[in-house]
Amino acid sequence: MEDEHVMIDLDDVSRHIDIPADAPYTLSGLDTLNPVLTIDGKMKLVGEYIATIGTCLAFSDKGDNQTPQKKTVEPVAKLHKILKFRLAPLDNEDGVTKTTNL
Amino acid sequence: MGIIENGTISGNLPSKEAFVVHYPGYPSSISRAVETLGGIQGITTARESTSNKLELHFRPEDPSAHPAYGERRHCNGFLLKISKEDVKKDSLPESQPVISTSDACLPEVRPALCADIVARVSESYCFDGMVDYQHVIPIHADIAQQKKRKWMEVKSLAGKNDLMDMADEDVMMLLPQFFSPKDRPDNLVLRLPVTSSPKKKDEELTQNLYEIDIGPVFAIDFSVKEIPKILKWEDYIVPTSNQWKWQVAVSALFEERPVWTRDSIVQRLLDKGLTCTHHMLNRFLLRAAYYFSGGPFLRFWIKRGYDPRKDPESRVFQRMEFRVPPELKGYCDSNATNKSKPSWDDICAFKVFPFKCQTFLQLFELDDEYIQQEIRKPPKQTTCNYKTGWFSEALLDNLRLRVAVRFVSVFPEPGFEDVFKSIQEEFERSEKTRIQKDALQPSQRNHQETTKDMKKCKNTNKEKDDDVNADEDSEDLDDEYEEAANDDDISISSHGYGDMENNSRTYLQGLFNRFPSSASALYGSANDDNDSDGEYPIYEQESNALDDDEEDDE
Repeated sequence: MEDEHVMIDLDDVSRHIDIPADAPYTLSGLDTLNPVLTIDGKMKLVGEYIATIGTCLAFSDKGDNQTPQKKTVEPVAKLHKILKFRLAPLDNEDGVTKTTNL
Repeated sequence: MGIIENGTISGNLPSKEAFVVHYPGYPSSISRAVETLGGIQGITTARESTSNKLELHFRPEDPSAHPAYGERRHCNGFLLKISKEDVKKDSLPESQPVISTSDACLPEVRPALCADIVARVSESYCFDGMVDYQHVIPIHADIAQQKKRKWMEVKSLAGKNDLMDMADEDVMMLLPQFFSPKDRPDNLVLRLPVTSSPKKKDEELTQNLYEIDIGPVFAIDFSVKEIPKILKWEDYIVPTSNQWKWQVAVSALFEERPVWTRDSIVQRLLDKGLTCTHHMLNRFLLRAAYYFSGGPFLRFWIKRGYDPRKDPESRVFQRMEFRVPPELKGYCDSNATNKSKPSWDDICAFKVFPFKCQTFLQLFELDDEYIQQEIRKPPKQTTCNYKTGWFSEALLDNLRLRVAVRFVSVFPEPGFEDVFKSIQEEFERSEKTRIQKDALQPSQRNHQETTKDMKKCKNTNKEKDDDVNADEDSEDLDDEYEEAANDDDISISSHGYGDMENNSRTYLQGLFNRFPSSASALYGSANDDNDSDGEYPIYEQESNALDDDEEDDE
């Protein structure tokens, strides 16, 4: 299996919305240049792709459950693409089509 | 992992945490990147450190590599993972539209791309500082650019095999050079250099500080009635301090003789191994001395309590100036920036040609037998004149030409013998003129001759056009005639005082013999007198202007 990673950047919208943990999300339009991210069924964000400056390296904080004091990091991915999201304009709501699995 | 259907995925935001490093480069592999960041251990240590700094060594093998520092920052992001799973190449695309309903019932045969948000990114490291210069091979940079362009064509992701071709093929070669010891840009504030302020400001400052206690000592007017009094500087200086030693040395000089040039004072102190700043020397001098703003002792330091205007013996300390002839000024121009200045002693001994176009000297210090004899003869004037001091103008002119002869004779460059010869001849003429005028007894005659000499002096200084030259030629003829007539007398006069008396009598007889023509001569002199009076102020003004120039040079 071959994996690719994209960094989702919500810095521009974090001042306007509060993203709860474990919230349901829907990410649509992945086959377009402007994917749409809907969080908790009410916050709609529109994204655009931008390139990284240099290279973006992702690491996970790895904690051992049995010995909590011992921590280490693990490299996860090397990526060159960022999806930068901003709040969706209101006139786009009508155009959105929702699809559900049956 | 959610399957991408119609470009859409769903799920729940994860609780798993991750952080990112915005790496300022294109590492050949993740492992190489981790190595340059200090390895897993280094990154872990940086995560736990309170400095919030992550070090990046582009060349971890190089112990002298300068690290770049990444700063930890808070951010709001997620990590989206896209992967490809089992692919059934032939049947799926064809059968998709026909049997879509039945395929939906069989999840195990679902194809193509999967995507999922796998982690929450709450921290990042950004490198904003300066780094070593990095030379990236252009072909590798192009590969990176192409890789990015492929990502921009998102449509190609659906149902295509482009991901298979995006294996990591880069082999980056970094050829860094040491650029700067600085890590971060700084705002530099330009500060004025702490150097000594101009001389005038020093004088003003010093004068303000001591005015109440010491009184005015700088640039006193020559016509002032009272001169500065002796100052008990012992009351101001602690005997154990360095200043005491300095002040003793400076004051001792004025016991040796009452009038000094600044250059000579500096030279004498240097000979004793004493050096100090210009400002400090001014302080020591003003406690012991003062100076006039004009007159025959212009800017010479004069001992407090001593008035050279009332002491005829001060005539030997009067000022003398040397101005470089125009033909030789190129030498001064070329040496204007010469750091190795000739010593003051060498200049007074006529051993070197001055670098300045105008040099002020003291008669007392000049190493010339002729000058020293002349200035020590009994004074003929009873008052100190602003213009000529205790000497007659004819004598001063004669001495000035003597100084010029001595300096030009040591001019270091060849090819200027004509200049020397002309100045020598001018000196000899001025000597004869002075002797003649010294022989004249009537006061009116003296006054008239002084007027003529003044006019001649102005002509010489101004170097006027051909008319003046013609007059000078005429004078040359007269002098030659007189020289021929009195040749024997001149040779005799070099043998002693008795012969000198004979010479004087001969001159007097000659003048008396010409008495019948004196009436017209007197009339002519009167006319010259009027012309001279008209031009006098201009000459005075010019002289002051030159003095100001000299002050600026200092």
